[in-house]
Amino acid sequence: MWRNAVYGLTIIALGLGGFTTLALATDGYRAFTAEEARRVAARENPEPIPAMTLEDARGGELDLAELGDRYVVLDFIYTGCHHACTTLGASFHRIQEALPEAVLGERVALLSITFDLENDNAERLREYGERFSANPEVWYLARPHSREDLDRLLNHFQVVVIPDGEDFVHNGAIYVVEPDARVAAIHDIDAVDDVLAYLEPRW
Amino acid sequence: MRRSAVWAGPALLVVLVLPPLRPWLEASLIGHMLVQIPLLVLAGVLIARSLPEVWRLRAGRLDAYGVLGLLLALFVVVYWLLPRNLDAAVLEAGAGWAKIATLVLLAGMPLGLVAHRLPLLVRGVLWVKATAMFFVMGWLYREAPDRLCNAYLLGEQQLLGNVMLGLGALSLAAILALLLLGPPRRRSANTGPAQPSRREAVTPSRSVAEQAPAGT
Repeated sequence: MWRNAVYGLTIIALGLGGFTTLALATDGYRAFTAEEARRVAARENPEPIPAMTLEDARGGELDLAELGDRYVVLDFIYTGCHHACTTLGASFHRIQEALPEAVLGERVALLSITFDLENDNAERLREYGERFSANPEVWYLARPHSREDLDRLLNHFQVVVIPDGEDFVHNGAIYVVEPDARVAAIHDIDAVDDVLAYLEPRW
Repeated sequence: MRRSAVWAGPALLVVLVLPPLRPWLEASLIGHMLVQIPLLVLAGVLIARSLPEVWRLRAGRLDAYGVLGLLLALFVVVYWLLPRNLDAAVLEAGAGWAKIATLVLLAGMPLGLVAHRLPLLVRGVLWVKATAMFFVMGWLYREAPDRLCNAYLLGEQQLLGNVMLGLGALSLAAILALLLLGPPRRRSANTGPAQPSRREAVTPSRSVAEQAPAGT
């Protein structure tokens, strides 16, 4: 009798421990996927982007720390992409068109960073910009200088790029970097309205 | 109950962990979820079964009906079947080794030590529940519009869903066959009471190890 009671209590304790562990492992049953986990982390625990200088497609350098006290809408692309990046490019174009003139470039900038160091050079990035009618004054296109820089960036944003035949598959998203350089919001690649709704009360 | 050969569990574990097989299995979602994880649990079961009898007796004193061992194993397996942890196990070396260690030590070995004590009712519930989960998770993986794992392609996810639906159908067919035809007749039933209980202990605990991943 006494033995069975102890046994029953041990089972309950193990069950509670197990569900608690699973709760901790899923941010309170909110994030079952790595994608959702990084979104929760960005909302609740935004971290500054790494200090880094990128190669600007217009020539010269682009210092991530000197994007200034602006909101930066950021994405990772490769110009040879015909799926997610096309959606991302179209989304960025819509964001560019939707922002009021007083805000564009002043309070909000756009930045697309390529992760295809082998194929994407400044020229191809500029072509990508033209494809989506990017205004070079407000929509920056950039390329990391080295594989190490790129890996640091991808690690920080938890971007996972896997090859799929001749293409790449990656967990594309639209990131919003706050004026204090922290990544505070991650949105779906086509969630233009969400991004604008996030920015509007803030700019 | 019958003991496993001492070399079987460690040999399986070594083959699973060393380069040719491990990266190959982890390269596909099906290999990772439906082959590697169940086989790691099986390696733990075999290791536990090769231990001296006294280990199972001690474990039985702590866990007379095997429920603690089953719960522990289910939690560990479910933890590693969460998409974000599948990703971590592939993308981060530390998580990859933690997965191997916990599946062997905290899922397979407890099952090997106590699963033969599980009451028939618990086994039945587990089997039916696992079958249902194969259908639910299979449908989810098949129909999810987005990738659930960053490390795997959408096509693989859909393929996994279809395979899980197939496994669920097989499992359901087995349950229906059991209900309609009754349990398979044992030839050895006349040879004494000890013999059947041994056989019984071997079969269901193996099926627990195979179906545990479905318990997500």
